[in-house]
Amino acid sequence: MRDPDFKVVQVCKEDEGISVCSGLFAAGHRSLMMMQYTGLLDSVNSLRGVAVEGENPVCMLVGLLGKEPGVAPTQSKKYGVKIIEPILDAMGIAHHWVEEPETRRRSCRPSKRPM
Amino acid sequence: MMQRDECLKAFKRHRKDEIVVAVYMAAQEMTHIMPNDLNYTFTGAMGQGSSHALGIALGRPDKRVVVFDGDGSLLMNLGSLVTIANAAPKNYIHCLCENGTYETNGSVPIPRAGQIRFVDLAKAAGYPKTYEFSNLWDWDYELEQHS
Repeated sequence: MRDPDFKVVQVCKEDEGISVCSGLFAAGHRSLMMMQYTGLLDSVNSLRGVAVEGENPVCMLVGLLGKEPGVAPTQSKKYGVKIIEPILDAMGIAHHWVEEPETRRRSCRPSKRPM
Repeated sequence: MMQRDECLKAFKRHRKDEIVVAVYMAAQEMTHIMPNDLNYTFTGAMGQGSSHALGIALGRPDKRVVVFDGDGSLLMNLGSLVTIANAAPKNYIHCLCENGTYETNGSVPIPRAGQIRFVDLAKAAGYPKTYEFSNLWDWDYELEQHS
């Protein structure tokens, strides 16, 4: 939060963050929404309205708290982790699983679809 | 008692180049009463107008951003009061039209309709200035002071 290269906007709840990103986009800025997967689950209606139906680009970095290292999220024993990618697929939201340094580099390419 | 459309008409008389965010029924009235390229009606989901307005205010500090929120909407995103107070954009004006209902969903009453002190919630969240109006004359006078 002290990094001068970033302007951090703290939010009380994750769906607020989706909307703040949308407002920033309308004002001509790029933003990144950082949250845990529980926050994503809590933000599904905002994502539905803003990112999908509104076709408003919202870039998210979503932590999979509790995911087992080396195990694909869909194979996780943690229910909340396991359902994230299928939910994003159902919503038509492009996503990349980032775990190793190589996948980190690949995932930094811009997506053609809203996320 | 104040009618929201009358409030918007009064606002229109004092409006300069503000970006105005409005939610649901207020957005429809705004579009009808004061069509303007700086009207923003895309809020995606109920309760989110105040947060969209915050993003715009932070992204355009050169412009005043006014949001016409509803009490039902604000209750769905009450934490936004704290988020907005914490971000503290000087160009953000949050107007709440209190009608005691979730108007868009068939005017279902909100919990504790008419008994919630929204202005106190805003104060407690950290809004630096708060006002409450129950007649058009006071609203119009205050708009004049701030225009």
